[in-house]
Amino acid sequence: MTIRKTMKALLLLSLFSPAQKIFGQKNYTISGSIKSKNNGESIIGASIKVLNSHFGTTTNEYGFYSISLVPNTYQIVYSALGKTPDTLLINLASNIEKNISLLEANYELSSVTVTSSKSSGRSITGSQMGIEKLSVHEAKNIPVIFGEKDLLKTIQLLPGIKPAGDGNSGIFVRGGSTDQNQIILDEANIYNAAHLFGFFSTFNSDAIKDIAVYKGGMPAQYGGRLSSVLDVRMNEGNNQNTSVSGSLGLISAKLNVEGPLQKNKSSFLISGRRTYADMFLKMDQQYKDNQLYFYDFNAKLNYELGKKDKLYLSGYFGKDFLGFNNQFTTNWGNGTGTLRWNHIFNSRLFLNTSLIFSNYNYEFKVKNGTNDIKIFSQIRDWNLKQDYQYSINNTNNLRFGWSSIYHIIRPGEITGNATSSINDKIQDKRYSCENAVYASNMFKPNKNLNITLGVRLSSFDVLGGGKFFNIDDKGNIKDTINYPTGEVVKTYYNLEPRVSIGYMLNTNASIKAAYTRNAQYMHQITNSNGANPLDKWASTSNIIKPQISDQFSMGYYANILQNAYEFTAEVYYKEMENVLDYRNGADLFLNESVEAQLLFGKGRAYGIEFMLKKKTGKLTGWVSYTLSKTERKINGINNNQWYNATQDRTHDISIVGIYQLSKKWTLSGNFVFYTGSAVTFPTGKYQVNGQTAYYYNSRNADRMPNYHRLDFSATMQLKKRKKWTKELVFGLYNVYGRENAFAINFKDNKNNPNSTEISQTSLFRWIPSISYNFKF
Amino acid sequence: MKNIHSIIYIALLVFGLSSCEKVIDLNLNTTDPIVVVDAQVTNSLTIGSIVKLSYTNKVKSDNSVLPLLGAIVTIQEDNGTVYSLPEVTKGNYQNIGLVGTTGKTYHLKVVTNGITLTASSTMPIMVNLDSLVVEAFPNFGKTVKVVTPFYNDPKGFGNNYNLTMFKNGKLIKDIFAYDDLFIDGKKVTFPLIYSREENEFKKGDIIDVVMNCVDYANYKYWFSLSQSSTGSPQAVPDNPISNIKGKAIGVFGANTYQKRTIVIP
Repeated sequence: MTIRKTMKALLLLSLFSPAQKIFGQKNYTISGSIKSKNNGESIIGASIKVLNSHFGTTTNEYGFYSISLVPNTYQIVYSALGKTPDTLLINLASNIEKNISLLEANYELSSVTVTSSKSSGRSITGSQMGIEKLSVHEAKNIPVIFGEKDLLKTIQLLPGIKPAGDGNSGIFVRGGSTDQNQIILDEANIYNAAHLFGFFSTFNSDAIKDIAVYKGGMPAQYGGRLSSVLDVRMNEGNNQNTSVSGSLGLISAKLNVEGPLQKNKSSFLISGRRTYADMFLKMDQQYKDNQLYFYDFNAKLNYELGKKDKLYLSGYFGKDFLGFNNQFTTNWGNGTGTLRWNHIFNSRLFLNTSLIFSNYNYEFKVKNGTNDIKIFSQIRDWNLKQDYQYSINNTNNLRFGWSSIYHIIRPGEITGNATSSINDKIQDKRYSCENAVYASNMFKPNKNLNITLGVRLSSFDVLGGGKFFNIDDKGNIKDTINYPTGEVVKTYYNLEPRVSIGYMLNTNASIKAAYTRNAQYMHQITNSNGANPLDKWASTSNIIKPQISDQFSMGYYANILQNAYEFTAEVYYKEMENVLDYRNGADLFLNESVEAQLLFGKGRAYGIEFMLKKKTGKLTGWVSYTLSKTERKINGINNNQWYNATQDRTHDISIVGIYQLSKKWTLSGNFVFYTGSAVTFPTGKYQVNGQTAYYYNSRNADRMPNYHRLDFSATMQLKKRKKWTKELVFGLYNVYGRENAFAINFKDNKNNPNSTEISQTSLFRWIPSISYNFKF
Repeated sequence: MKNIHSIIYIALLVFGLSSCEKVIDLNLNTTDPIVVVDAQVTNSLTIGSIVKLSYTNKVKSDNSVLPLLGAIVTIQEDNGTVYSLPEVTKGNYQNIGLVGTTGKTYHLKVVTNGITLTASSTMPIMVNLDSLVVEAFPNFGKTVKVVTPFYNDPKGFGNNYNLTMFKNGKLIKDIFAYDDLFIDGKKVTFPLIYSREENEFKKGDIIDVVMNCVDYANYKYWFSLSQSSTGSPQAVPDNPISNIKGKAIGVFGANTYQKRTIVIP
């Protein structure tokens, strides 16, 4: 597919869109970028509203906006989260460029209304639904385990997003599994967003600007995962002054340096984090040969080439190390790089071109003299894409583009020394190409109605080089076919419609509905007990089909009491096809044919989510509640009948409160309750060859005990000196020491081996934390 | 290599420094008793061949076996002799005259309460268990003693092993089932790592290691049992892949038998 052809098709598409008036009326545009005054960071999703009209727009991922209007005099209101709004009087008689810098909002307590813009990304206007936005600034005061600020954990307090486990940064979104979340950092795919088994995410909050989570109604520019998109954007770096910030906590130390390369024009940011729990291990003679730590490193550079062109270069590198007595060591990590070029063709047409690299690998080593064994696996992506944003007129905004990803997987490599018991084995590399073209038009036919019609056409080429298999129902290899490198083994196409409609009931309330189809071509093969860093990623092949989901959702949104409160209710129904699970007794460890070890089936999830948020006053926060059901039906599991998915949790409640006690102190707390995950407990037991074995009847028919927990934190602002700001954050996780079940084990009793004992393992009780944050 | 997962699991528990374990009680569903077949033909004169028939028991009951009485049990060797196995003790069916031979296929037939169960298994060639060695093994923070069996896997895929270990005559309840996918034609020196602290080997302990060479279906049974039915939270809860045809669970194997003993120094 050539780019030119695509462009032609997209232009045709735009002509057929309901924008008949494209050439009918003369429009002029106001365009430009919106930045934060104090550090020059561009603001994503800032609002541009035409006063006393229904016209408006928001800034894109790079802070750029463009709005087309008929000639007139307008009052334009520029506003953004945590910023003081600005209003400009514009006499529109030709295309105008307006670059805006917004001041920090005044958080002083003297004004009781802290800020009216301290809202979530939810907006009652527009047609986008199923989205949650969180900035680092908002998440700042919410308590978190070990005092380690982590956006992936804070978003778990929002409706429809559930933690994969206690203290875990892995998430389940609307009944999806963890690998069905597309986690992108500056557009680069992060294949494993967890450090230390999920207790920390790979996102160092000092380097992150914000996160947007799409639970449904994904815009057409996103694709590749079924359940959600987590779009994480890194800070760009202060282009006004050089600043240093950092923190010291129980677990890690962080340092962040940023500043201008050329004032107002270009800047850099370098941010690093390392945990130091292992330093304590080293102090103990017994544990001194053990390793347990991670680090990560973010860097970004942005450079204005001219008025119309801007370059961004960003990178992430992180690694985990774990070792025992120098005999077992394992390490894993992600590395990504993104080069982006923003080009403004004219006030209406904006283009971003990105070249993205992403890598994830792990290594596991055993060293005991005789058996020195190394296991290695890697997944690597090269991605080139272009995204065009075209403001047609005051009622139509078109977005279109294409993306092409080349995936290279090294599924598994095992090598041993001369005396080891194993034969070296290098599995065939897997090559594939994932392409997509998309277009979507945001259309505003009248004052109250917003319609976004979008479509994404995705394709996946399974490429040769190596052995491919045909498998029978029992998972036996029927025959093996060798494909030469570069030859197409199989191509899949999927048309993914994305439709959403928003209707304003009155100035304070709206309803929205959306239908979204998503296709997923890369799959993580995890067992139903949850993910771990050694889980394999497998690409769609001749046997593994793309996973498909169809989601229908509807919502009601209201602002109550002059925007002091915000109420949201959303219902969804989602169907998934070709979801995967392990075959019983699967041996995935470097298995030549992963396909032979898998089972395929379908899933369904439905639920209702409520959220009431208090946005102003000394006390802010929210209550969220989700009622949901998630099921799977997989041929070969549970007699092919529907069963509860592991992530099925009927009730899920979060309460978050932040209280500004005084200028010096901010107190906050959160409470979480959810129904225990679906699990399978044995229904009988027996003896075979002297071993006690357990008999299982139906899959996931039982429940773990319900989970609940209360956390507190208090932030003390230390005396501000001219350029120094310092604060101390005290936290207590699991205040009342609830022993939440992490695992339940059935085994012979230690003292009386003739009887069975059921034991429960709990992880975190009363985890206190203290951290010191500074900035100068 | 399931040990990789165990290691990660242990690390996880260590990291959650405040982790704790306690005995709890749960309301469990029960299923009607199901027939369990635990049967093997061996090439050992002392061990011989035995078919144990029982029913599944309630999880919260003790580990005693609920014997299945009065079944008619026969084993046919290839297409030849049919041996009948009378019930010698409750639920245990045996015929001293039946000693297996490598390369021959054995066909089990059980008739009980109007149901018929069948299974077949071929006795593989016997790979010699050369020796046992006691080694030191790191176990987070300390070193424990483990026993490593040495044997030479013959060239050519298809050798499968199921090892069991006894400490002072008592079975250690861990499963060690291997195929030869990675070890084909190599000298095998993998230690048998036991999972429970209370089994820790002390000086003077007498350790017996039994090595059964088994066919692929038996390897799959023991491997899947170790992955799915041990009651451990790392296991995916499911029933092991049985080679019994009919309404029953369990396994029938024609296995070679070797035993070696070592005293912990």
